[in-house]
Amino acid sequence: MSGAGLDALVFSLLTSPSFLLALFHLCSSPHLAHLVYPIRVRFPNVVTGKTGWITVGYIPAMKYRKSATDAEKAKVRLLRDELLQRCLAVVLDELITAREVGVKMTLPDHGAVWAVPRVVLYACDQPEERHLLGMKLSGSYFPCSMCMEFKSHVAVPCLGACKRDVLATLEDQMEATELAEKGERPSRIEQLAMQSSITPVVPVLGAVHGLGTGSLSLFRIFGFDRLHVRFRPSGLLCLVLTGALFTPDPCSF
Amino acid sequence: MFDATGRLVCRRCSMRFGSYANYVQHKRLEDRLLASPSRNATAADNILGIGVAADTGHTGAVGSTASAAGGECTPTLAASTAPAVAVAATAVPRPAPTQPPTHGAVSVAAPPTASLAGATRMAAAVALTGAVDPAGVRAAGASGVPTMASDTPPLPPTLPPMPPQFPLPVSTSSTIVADRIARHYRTKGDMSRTALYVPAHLRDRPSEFLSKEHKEMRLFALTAGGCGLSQKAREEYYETAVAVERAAMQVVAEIDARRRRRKKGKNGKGKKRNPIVRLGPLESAFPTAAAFVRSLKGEQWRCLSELKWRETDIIIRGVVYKFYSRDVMQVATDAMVSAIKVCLHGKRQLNEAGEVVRTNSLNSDIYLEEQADVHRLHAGKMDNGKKMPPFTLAIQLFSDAALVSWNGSMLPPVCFLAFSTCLPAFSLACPVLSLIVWE
Repeated sequence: MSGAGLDALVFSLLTSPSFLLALFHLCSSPHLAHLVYPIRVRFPNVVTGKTGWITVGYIPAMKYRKSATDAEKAKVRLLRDELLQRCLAVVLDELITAREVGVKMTLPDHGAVWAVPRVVLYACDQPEERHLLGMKLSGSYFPCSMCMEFKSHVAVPCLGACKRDVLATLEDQMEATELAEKGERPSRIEQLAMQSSITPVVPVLGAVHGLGTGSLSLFRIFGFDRLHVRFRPSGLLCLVLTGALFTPDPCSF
Repeated sequence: MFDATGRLVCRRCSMRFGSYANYVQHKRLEDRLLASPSRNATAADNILGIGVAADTGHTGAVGSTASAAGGECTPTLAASTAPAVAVAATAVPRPAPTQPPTHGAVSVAAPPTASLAGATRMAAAVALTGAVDPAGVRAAGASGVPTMASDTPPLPPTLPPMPPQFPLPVSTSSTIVADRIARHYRTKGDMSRTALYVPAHLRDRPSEFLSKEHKEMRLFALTAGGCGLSQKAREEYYETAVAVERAAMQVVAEIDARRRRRKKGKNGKGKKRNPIVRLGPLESAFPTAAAFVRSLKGEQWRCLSELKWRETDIIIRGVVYKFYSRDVMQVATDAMVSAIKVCLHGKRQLNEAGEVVRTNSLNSDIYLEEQADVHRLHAGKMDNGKKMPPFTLAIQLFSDAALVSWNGSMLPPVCFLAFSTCLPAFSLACPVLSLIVWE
């Protein structure tokens, strides 16, 4: 069977409800997530072949229980973010290892080449971008992921806010994460959260070469998900999206 | 990084900290001092307690440190090459200034060649990394002239508290942060709890779907409707196919019997034979519907095994979450090797007016920057005496955000209808909007 056919076959298998149900029947804990959502990967270097999105993982999804209090919701949000990062860490583990030295590949037409993997795009919307970067989605002073523009100055022409420092943000997140895991100094965690709009979750993408090192492109790789633009549930979403697309970007970065 | 008592030790000044937060604060203070534009090498050395005789090479190294520690988009490899710089600085004996020391600088006797060699080596390192120090030392260092900076501010008359072999403070902040993040997640032990999803006794089983017809049936049963047929539908599909097959085999048997009868007798009349109905290809391979359904299940295991799907137990606060994944590098290798045509290098495209044209992901700024970075880092790889050209393997990720970002709110039906009704009228008024909305 050809590779593409095999992949399509497995994709269909793993997305089938019966298969997922079978998977979750294997799990006995009552606290398990009851839904999964896929993470996919694509390689633009492939011109003819597997050019589509290839599923590489199914991340457990968690929802709030009904009538959950705000504190419970905050805990679930934090748990969800941590689970997302841990899942990404498993998926990207080999990539993190190979990010610096590269791997040898023998291609049919080019012979032996030295492939150095780099993440150049993460297609997602703004809420997921904040989840992936370990930043607060709401209640933050600096809602922009790329610059330190104050919340009252967003959606207006740039007032000269400085660029968000990748390393400083990652260090803040590391510190907040380690303090949160030890259960120490909640006021310091709160201080870090206020000054950088971060959550005590460190993004695993920061460990990938080129994002957390080198050209430090961690905040630049996120792109708008065009699938959501093509999705037309109502006119409202289209209007909002159109407005967003035609509005000049207030962020100078 | 930890001493015998479990306290954090600063690499630069050997201070000890009981709390990690204090260590980070101390390190930030040091980085800020090193990255300060008004700072020069000697001043920082004194602040850090590392007195070094003024030397172009060492100054260049510290300067590159400062630029790397600043973290402000230095397109560098300073992070990755910094350890080598530190080693070189350690191995080379401390050179003496070629000019008389000024204002109480410590004079260390050493041959001038050592200074020249050290300066040249450091200049090469600076040129290699492309780092530029704030004081603009790179030009002097790159020229290979071991100048004793006459415009260097005077050194306070303090003796260095560190031994001469103490390495220069080369900051590898970005690498350290990235490594710390990777280490943080590896210490969780998720990878050690990762195993192949398919049990060992179900792997490497040969497929029972050998002929073309079998493979077609398998594909239909597993992909019909996007999710494949249900268990009952698979059984019904088998029964239907077998019924058709039996009818066809009956016809074949009758034709065969008629032909044999003609051949046997004279004048085309022979003894009448009973037709022998044989089993068709489907029924012979799968005698019952249960066997067919069971084989499809085996195909699932076989495919999952071939694609190396893994299962990970992620434990967060005592709760186990199952995570199913594949190795990204394995997927990338499969995709690249099985591709009919690949494009290994991106190139910026310009139109006739000289404007940048973007046609695909390989023209994007990020890819081109990373490509230049990769070529700078990995050029000259050899494999059995042959050149092995490097290329940037671009990876795009996408996760379905609907469940991550969904906050549970729903658009009221009234609003939905209202906007859906108003949209055509509004789109007529705005051609651009109409084009986008209605495509």
